[in-house]
Amino acid sequence: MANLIKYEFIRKWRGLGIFMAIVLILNAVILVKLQIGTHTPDEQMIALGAFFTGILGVFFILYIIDVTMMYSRDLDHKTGYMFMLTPNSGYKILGSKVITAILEGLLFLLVYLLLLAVNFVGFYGEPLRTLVGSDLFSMIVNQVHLEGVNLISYFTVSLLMLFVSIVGLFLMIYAAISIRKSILAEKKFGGLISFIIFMLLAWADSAITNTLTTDIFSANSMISPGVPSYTFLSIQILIQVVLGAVFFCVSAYLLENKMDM
Amino acid sequence: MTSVLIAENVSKGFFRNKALHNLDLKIEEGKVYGLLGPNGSGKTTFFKIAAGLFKPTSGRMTVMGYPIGAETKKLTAFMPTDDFLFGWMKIDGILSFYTDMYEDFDRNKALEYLTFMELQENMKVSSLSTGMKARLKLAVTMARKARLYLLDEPLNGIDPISREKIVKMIMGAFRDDCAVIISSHLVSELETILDEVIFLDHGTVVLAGDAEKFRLEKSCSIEALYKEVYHG
Repeated sequence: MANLIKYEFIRKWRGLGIFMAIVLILNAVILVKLQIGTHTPDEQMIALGAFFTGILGVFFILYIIDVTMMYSRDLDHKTGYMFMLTPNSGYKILGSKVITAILEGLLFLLVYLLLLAVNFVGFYGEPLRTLVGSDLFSMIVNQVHLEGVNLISYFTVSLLMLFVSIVGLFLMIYAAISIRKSILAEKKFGGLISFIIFMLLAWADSAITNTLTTDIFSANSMISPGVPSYTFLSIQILIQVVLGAVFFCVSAYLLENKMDM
Repeated sequence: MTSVLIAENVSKGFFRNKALHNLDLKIEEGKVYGLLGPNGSGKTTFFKIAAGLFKPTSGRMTVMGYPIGAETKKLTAFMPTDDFLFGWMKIDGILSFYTDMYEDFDRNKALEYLTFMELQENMKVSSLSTGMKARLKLAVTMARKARLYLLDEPLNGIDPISREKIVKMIMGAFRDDCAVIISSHLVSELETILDEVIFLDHGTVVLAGDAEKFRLEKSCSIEALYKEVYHG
């Protein structure tokens, strides 16, 4: 499997490199504009904050597109034979794509955090310290009132939830693509069918999650506005892991036994 | 003699068409088979099922006793007609890919074949002509020490001189413990190397047997037999 992952990355590195270079150039342009302009430190912080919020959205969208393409391209194009002819089962081939996607996501996150750190700590250390020590910041932090919750473990569970949700999302996309390419392979409008299947799976996922958390476990979903409870998050993680495993097994089974390349 | 591939009652349908229809076939080691037939006779479908790219609608196919899957892909070297090699790679990269993915791949042999085929390691796959790509596909396929070689139209789009080279290369790579199945329209070019011929039509075997025996019994070449089978 290590070789499959290796070649997935070799296939991607050029595209990833170009994307990272574009982000670096954009970041440099913004930094130069902020430095040579007559902006106050607060304005500079806000501009950088807006840049990083926008970039986060772009990172996420491109990431999901890339991860989807990594699978669909192999099924739709003959170059997919390169992987499909190798002596690896459908489970291994799909597993390698999932691991590649996770590593790629972590790489995106690492680059993002590094950029964030370099920008704010390297160029705006003093204004950042001033902002963190300001009354406004304290006021915002005080708004988040989590009684009886260990912040570190809550933060860890939230991150884990985010992680399993993203992995669950692309496993759901893979399942939709697999169903379209196998059971519904002889139907017209494949792309549309894939999208409809994805929407149905997303609806089913949401319905199962809601039923389990609210009706069965009666988990109090929110401890304050916009802040889900620890129990709610834990159940959600468990459900996402189980559903992700189901999506993976269905996709790999179809790839191994039902799909024509 | 060991059977390398056995197909039992294999059928494959696409929409309403049946590409293979209850196909029964036994491929034995130590022989070169010619899989012959007009377009749409089911040759490529047969190859793709044997290579694990297509799944049969019904029936069973095995390679060295294993049902088609990851295990048989270790034993089967398939050269499809499709342009499947990564275009962004250099030939050197393709060789590394095969080295990493297939335990039976012999890089030195591949280099030998590349030289014979007048290809250089630093050439980019996307810059190769159709004929050069076909030669590259064949070189990496034959550089594996597989038990079963499936060569789908290896002479397609190849000039007459290169065709000779390809035939030489196939025969050079042939071993007694393997079987080679070659499909082609260019029957005359392959005539001399075929031990057995299988004529397919509409997904079924219409005639199969020892090539030499056919030549003697029918007093004609395999090419003439091909014309007789398909044109009456």
